[in-house]
This record gives sequence, C-alpha cells and structure tokens, in this order.
Amino acid sequence: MSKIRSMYFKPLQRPNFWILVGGFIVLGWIGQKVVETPFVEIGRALTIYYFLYFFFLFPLFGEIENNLAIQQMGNVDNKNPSQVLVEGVGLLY
Amino acid sequence: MMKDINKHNNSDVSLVTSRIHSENRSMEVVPQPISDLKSSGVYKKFNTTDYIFPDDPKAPVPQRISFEDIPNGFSSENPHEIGNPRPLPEDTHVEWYKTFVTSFRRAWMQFDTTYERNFKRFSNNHELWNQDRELFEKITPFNQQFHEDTMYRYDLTDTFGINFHLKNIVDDFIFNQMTYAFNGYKHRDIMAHFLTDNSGRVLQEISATNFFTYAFEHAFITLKEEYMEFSGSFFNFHNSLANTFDIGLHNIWFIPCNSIALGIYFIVWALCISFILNRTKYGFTSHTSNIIYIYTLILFILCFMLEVYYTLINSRYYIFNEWLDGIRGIIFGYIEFGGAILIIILLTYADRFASGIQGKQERIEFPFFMVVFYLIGYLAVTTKNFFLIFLALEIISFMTYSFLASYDKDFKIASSAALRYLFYSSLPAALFAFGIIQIFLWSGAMTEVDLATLSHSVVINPWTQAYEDLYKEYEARILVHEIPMSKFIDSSCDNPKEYFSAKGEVYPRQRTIFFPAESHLTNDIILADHGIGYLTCRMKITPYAGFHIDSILKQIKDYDTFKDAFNLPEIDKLNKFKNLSNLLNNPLTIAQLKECFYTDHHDKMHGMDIRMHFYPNYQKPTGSVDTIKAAEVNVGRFLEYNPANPDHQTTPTREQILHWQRVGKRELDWIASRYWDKYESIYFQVKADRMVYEAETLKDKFNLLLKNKKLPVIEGMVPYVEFCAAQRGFNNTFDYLTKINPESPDLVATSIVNNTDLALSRIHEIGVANYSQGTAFLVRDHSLFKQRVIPFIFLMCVFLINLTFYFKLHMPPVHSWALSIYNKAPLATVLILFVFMKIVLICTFLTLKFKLAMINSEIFSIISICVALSGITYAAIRNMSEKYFR
Repeated sequence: MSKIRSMYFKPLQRPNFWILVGGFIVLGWIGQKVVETPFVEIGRALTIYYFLYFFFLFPLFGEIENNLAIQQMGNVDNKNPSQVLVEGVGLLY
Repeated sequence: MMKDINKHNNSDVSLVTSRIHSENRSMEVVPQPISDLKSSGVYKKFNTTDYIFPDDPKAPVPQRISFEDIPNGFSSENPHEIGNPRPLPEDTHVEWYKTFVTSFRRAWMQFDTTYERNFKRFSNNHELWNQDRELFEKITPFNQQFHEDTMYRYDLTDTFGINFHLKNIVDDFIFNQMTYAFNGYKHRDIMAHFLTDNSGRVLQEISATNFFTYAFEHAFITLKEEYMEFSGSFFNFHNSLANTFDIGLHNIWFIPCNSIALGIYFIVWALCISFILNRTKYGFTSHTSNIIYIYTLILFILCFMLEVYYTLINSRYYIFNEWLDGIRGIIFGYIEFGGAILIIILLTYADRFASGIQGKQERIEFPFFMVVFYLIGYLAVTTKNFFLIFLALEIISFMTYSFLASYDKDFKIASSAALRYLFYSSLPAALFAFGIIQIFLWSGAMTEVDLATLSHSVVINPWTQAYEDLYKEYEARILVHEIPMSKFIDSSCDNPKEYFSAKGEVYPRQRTIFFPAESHLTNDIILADHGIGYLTCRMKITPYAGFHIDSILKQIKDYDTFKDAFNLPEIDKLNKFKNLSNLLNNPLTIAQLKECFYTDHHDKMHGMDIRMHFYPNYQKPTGSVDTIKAAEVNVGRFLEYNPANPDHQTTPTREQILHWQRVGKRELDWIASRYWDKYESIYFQVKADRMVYEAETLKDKFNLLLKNKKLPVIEGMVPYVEFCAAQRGFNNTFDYLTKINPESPDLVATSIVNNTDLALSRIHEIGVANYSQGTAFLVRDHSLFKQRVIPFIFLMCVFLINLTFYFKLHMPPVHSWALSIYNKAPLATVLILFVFMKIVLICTFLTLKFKLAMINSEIFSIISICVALSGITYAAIRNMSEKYFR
C-alpha cells in the first residue's frame, strides 16, 4: 500500500483514479441498459478494469511510488519530506 | 361435461380464479341410471387387473393399530433440533391424531350432505348469487368497475399483513370484508364462502352497521392479540422493536405501531439521561418537573428490568441459544443507549451547528443528518432483509464519507478525501451486493426467514447437487412409495427404472416438480402425517429456475399424477387433466404465474406449493365433484398464492415452530377447528377420494374380511360399496352386499358404520409410511444442514459478504488511500459518526453471522466473529505503530 496519502504525489494513480471514476459512472449507466451487444462488452471491460484497479494496479502503483519516494529520501537527509517527494516523483517524468 | 368445460375455456379469461370455484361447484352429478353411465363412459369398466392387491384369500388380515403403534414421524429425541422435519413432541402428535380422528369423523359425516348442498347453492343459482352480490356492493365503498379493475391482486391480505389467525368463520368473514373493502378482490369468493357456511346456511346478515362494528372489534382486539403474539409481550421491546423494519415479515401496521413505541422509548431514555446530566439546563427545576423526573426514572427502571427479563432471562424467545441472544440483547441495549446519547449531544451542540465553523459556515443540516444516520444504523442492525442491510450500510458510508469528510467545504484536502472515499467505498459495496445477489439467485432467499427455510429444506436448481439426485433418485422413490410395494414384489423388480421400462414407459421423465422436505403448514402436517387427504408437493422456484419458467409451467401442465403414480395408461384416454392443461394454456394464467414469480413478493416466492393429489383410478359415483375439478381447485389455490396469507406460507421457520410448541394443545385444537371450518368443502372431497383410494387398494382385503364377517370399513365405504356394486352391474347396493356376504347384509351395514377406527388406523399407517419415508429422503440427503450439500457458490457468497465487513472494519486500506477525513469537523460529530459507524458495522456483522449461521454452524459463526475482531485489533495496533507521511 502506498504510504503517501496525497494524490498530488501519485503520478501513476492520479490518471487511473479518474479512469476509475469515469468507469464507475459508466458502469452505473450500463446497469440501466438492456443486455445487448455494445453495453455488454463495455460493461465487461469496465468491470475488469474496476477490479483490476483495486486488486492489482492499486498496490502495484503504491509500491512503485513508495520506492521512488524512499529512494529519494535516502539520498537527501535534511530536506523537507514534501520537497523529497516532489523530486522523487519528478523522476517519473 | 366436456362441453361445459370447453365453454368455460372460451369464456372470459379474466375470471379464471373465480371460474375454478364456480365450475367446481357446478360439478354436481345428477343421479342417472347405471346403464346410462356405463354406456356414456363416465364409469370405467372395472377389471380385476385394476386391483392393486392380488386376490389372494390367504393374504394376512391387517391388525388393528393402536395409537402407540403408529409410526411417529417426529424425532422425539431432540425436537428442538433445527431442521427436524417433525419438530412437534410426541405427545402432541398423539393428541393431534386423536383430534384429527374426531374431526375426520365429523367431517365425513357431513360430507354427502353439507358438501353437496353448499355447491348446489352456488353452482347454478345465479339469482341467489346476484342477490348476495348486490347486497354486498351496497355496503362496500367501491363500485363494480373498481372490482373489475382490481380483480387480480395477490397481495390480498397485505393490507393487514400476514398471520391472521382468525378464530372462526365469522372472523373470516369480517376479515375478508375489510380486506375486500380496501383491495376489492375476491368478491365472489367472499360471498360464496363467508356469507354462508358450507351448508349454505346464512351465517351473518350483512348490514353496514354490524360490518363496521365487527371491523373495529377485529382491528382493536384481534390485532392487539396478534401484536402480542409477535412480540411476546408489549414490554418485550427488543423482540418487537428489532423487527420494526421488516416489512415482509410482519404486519404493515406493525411498523407505525413500533415506531411509536420506539419514539416513546427513546424519549424515556433521553429524558432520563438528560435529567441525570443537567436538569437545570432544560428548565426542569420546578416541583412538577421533579415529579416527572421521578416518574420517568421509575419508568426507565421498569423498562430496563423488563427488557432484561424478556431478552436475557426468559429463554422462550431465544433464536439460537441464550448466550448469543443475550449478546444481541446487549447490543440492542447499547444501540438504544447510543440513540439517547445522540439526542443529548445534538441538543447540547445545537448552537454550534447553527453558528457554523468559526462563524463562517452554518451547517444546520448536520443534526438532521446525524439523526438519519442513527436511524439508518438502527435499520441496518435490526433488519432481516439483506437488501436493506446493503442499503443501510451504503447510506451510512455515503454520509460518513461525503458529509463528514467535506465538512469544511473550503478545505480542498477534505473534499479530495471525501471524493476518494466515495469511490473507493464502492468496492466493498460491490462485493456485498455481489454476494447477496448470488445468494438470492441461487436460493431465492433475501431474508433471515428465507435462510431459515432453506436450512431445513431443499433447494432445487441446476446449481445444486439435489437437482441431479432428485431427478434421478427421489422421483423414483416417491413413485415407489406411492405405488404399493406389492407391485414391485410381484414384478421382482428392485429398480424402478427397469420397472417402468418393463411397463413400456420412459423413465425418468423430464420434470421440474419437486417434493417437499417438509410440509409447510401445520394443517398440512396434520393431514399429510396421517396420510389422508393429499400429498403436498413443493416446487421451489428460485430465480435461476425462474429463468426457465416457461418450461417449468409446461412440465406442470404435462405432469400426470395419474400416470406417474399408478401407471394406468387408460387414464389418458379419459383426458383427466385436459381441463388442467387448458387452464395452464391460458395466457392470462401464465401471466399471473409469472407475475407471482417475478414481481410481487419475489423474496417470498422461492417456495411455492402445489398440492398434487394422488388420485386413484376412481370415479366417484355419487359425489358432486370429480377429480379433475378438485385438481383445478388446487391449481386455483396455487394461482391465488399469497405469501401474506398464513395458509400459503412456506416452510415454517424455527421461530414459528417454537411458537407452535409454545402455544400448546389449545392452540393446536383451535387451528384444527379453524381448518375444518374454513376448508371444509374442498378437503371433504380430497378426503373422500383418498379414503376411497385406500379402500381401492385394500379392496381385496376388505372383501376377504367381508367374507369373514370382519368388515373394517368406514362410513366412506358406503359410496365405495355403491360404486363397486355399480361396476359389477348390480342394481343396488343391497344386492351387491347380499352376494358378497349372503348371510347377513345387515351386519355389513352395521359394521360400515361402527368400524371407523381400524380403517383410519390402516390409512394412517400407509400415509405415514408414504409421507414420512418419502419426504425424509430429501432432508436426509439434501438438507443444507449437510455440509457436503452446500455448494461452492453459496460459500463464495458468504465469503464475499464476510470480506465486505472485513474491508469496512479494517480501516488501514481506507486510511492509506485517502487523506484524513475528519479535518475541521466538530469533535462531537466525529466521535458520534466514527464510533457509531463502527458499532453499526460490528452489530450488523454479528447479526448477519447469526443469520448465516442458520445454514452454517454456530461454531463457524463464532470463529468468523473472532477473526473479524482480531483483525480489527491488529489493524488498530498497526495503525498506531506505523508512521505515515503527513
């Protein structure tokens, strides 16, 4: 799990979170539709992503971002933690 | 007769249900010369091959069976065991039987007179019917158009809910009057059934005055008794208040009544606590207020003592055992205490909510949200409906995440946290919803009662193991037990499949009609245990099975009890079930059935009962209703299936069984009397057919006994003997009896009257053997209490539900995912919402585990609870030890 709570320091999770939000809304809309071809496939894909996000992507991104942050903290001792995180995250870009 | 049937089938299809009764009543058979009957084909030629027992003069004479020798269907060793198919104690069983014999004699004595008169009255006498109808419409507030518009409503008794134990036919009349006045339903049935008794005698001359008089008496006396039966006592708050929100379980009026009680209860608590805390703050300083204070304290102490007595000490109302139920009572006590505390805090901090945060934001809506929060939490803990649990938990989560986290609207971090909480909390919601939906689809169970039903019955759908076994084995067994065993012995065939193959029949047939693990009604238990009347067959309609409703209905339509049970192909030529098939071909009927399955009361519809009458190869010579019509009547009753009707309920729950045990013999006698009064006419015919069927099966022994001047026959043998005489071409019964027993025909007639007990005992023996053995198979092999039968999908559902609570209770993931949610919220609000949500979750989890434990075991439940609590503890310790970035 990520030890960083702020989404500001989670460059991987930030877009995925908004994809999740979009999928959440679309899934609610899909649930009102009839069981027909376009809706079924859309619903399946979004459901797969939904559970994939929670059970796979979420811990994976958390570990990656933790390592980045801790690695950056180990290099610089006396910096502000927020500054360290910003620098660590900056490595991804 | 067939012309009449076709005419009816082409008539208005919107009168299906009423037509069943009207046709039933119109089936009086005008006595005709025997020669005409024989030539018209009404009477089947009676062959010696139709004798089920071989004509062996050396056959053993059946011994008289005493009450002690009656095979007891009850398990007297542990009658309280859940899932015991016969939970009543043995002595009650004997009393039942004695009562039954008495009632049976009385009923049979009235059969040939009362029954026919009743149906003659309403069969063709439309003038009389119209008179009653006009009279009735005068006193009802609705017109004819209203009746027609609302003709088909299954929630007939929902106006007042279920469990109306009406004590006599007058009460039935009043009750249906009231129900009809509100729902406009069953006009004809009410008139036919309740304006007169079954003999056609007018019981009650209707007028507007006495209608409302009886209605109010019913409302204020009978309903009060019903309430007390539910709650055990008016003072048993825990037992009654806990069921406040279970709409499907109790009377609808139960909710406002309990809500008032709940409000009074909270007020008492709040006053007590507020007086203790700060009496001067609320101005209770005068002499009068001190008196109120003292009396309130006394009332509080009394309520508390009664609560403790009725919930913790008095073990009559336990659900699982005293220990677990005691915990539940304590939980409810804490919840109610928490409600009082909530009221106090809201009063205390009202100024702060009004003034807002530092005078900037007025959050006056928060007290309202907190009250709703508390009520929804109460709903989550007390409800027995899984969907309501889901709804309540989600509302609580939504309020917590959204409102509390975004308390300070100007604080962006808090808003961000609220948004993330909202979306992340959809994961446990999805898991919980998936779990309960799978349980519902698998078993049709959405409530605790349904789970209790499942726990001692058998679920049939393609996902259960019982499906295949039932298809292969049990169907054969029921046939084996219905067909006399001597037939198998004669054919030297142990395997019923080979037997049917040898007979040229295809076995097994494709069929989706299922037989009961247990008879669902007390009344059914009476009849079925004693083998007289009928065999109740249960068709469990789970939603999975409901997907195949068309094929199921087709199989119902094609189901030929005659053919299956007796293997008599000539029955088909008589088109015995043609009218039944027509009825099920009726599109409106099918629509009604589907409506039953899908729409109303879908949570109760997982168990439907079709009363399959195993009629013999028999055409009643002097009766007024033949077997086709009787079958139609039962289909009609099936169509009128109403879960709110106590007579249509499914398998009794453990609570109901305990209730029956509790009320004792007086209650049972009372139900029996109600039974005979209410269903006199219908079951008369059933009993008659069954008895004559048994007489047919034993006719050779009877003949043998006739020769030996030991005639153990019953009064019902009179039409049977007449029938035999007609089949054999005798002009009258006397000639027939003279021939078979030429020495003393008078002695035969005397014996017919006087030897009832022995025949009843014999019939009882056969019936108990058939029913108990037959139904025991399914329970023994396929009851959900057998761990091996619980399918993987159900265990998966339980796991998902558990996972949901683990997720919600294990806060570290949520804390890791989002920011601190309690920024700038008032401390009191944070404490209430945070702590109360945890309490609600734990209580809901505990109660849900209790419910699931009805299928699993209590040990499993306790282990799960321990795991959850240990997980919470571990999570708390881990939270404290870890250092997060802030």
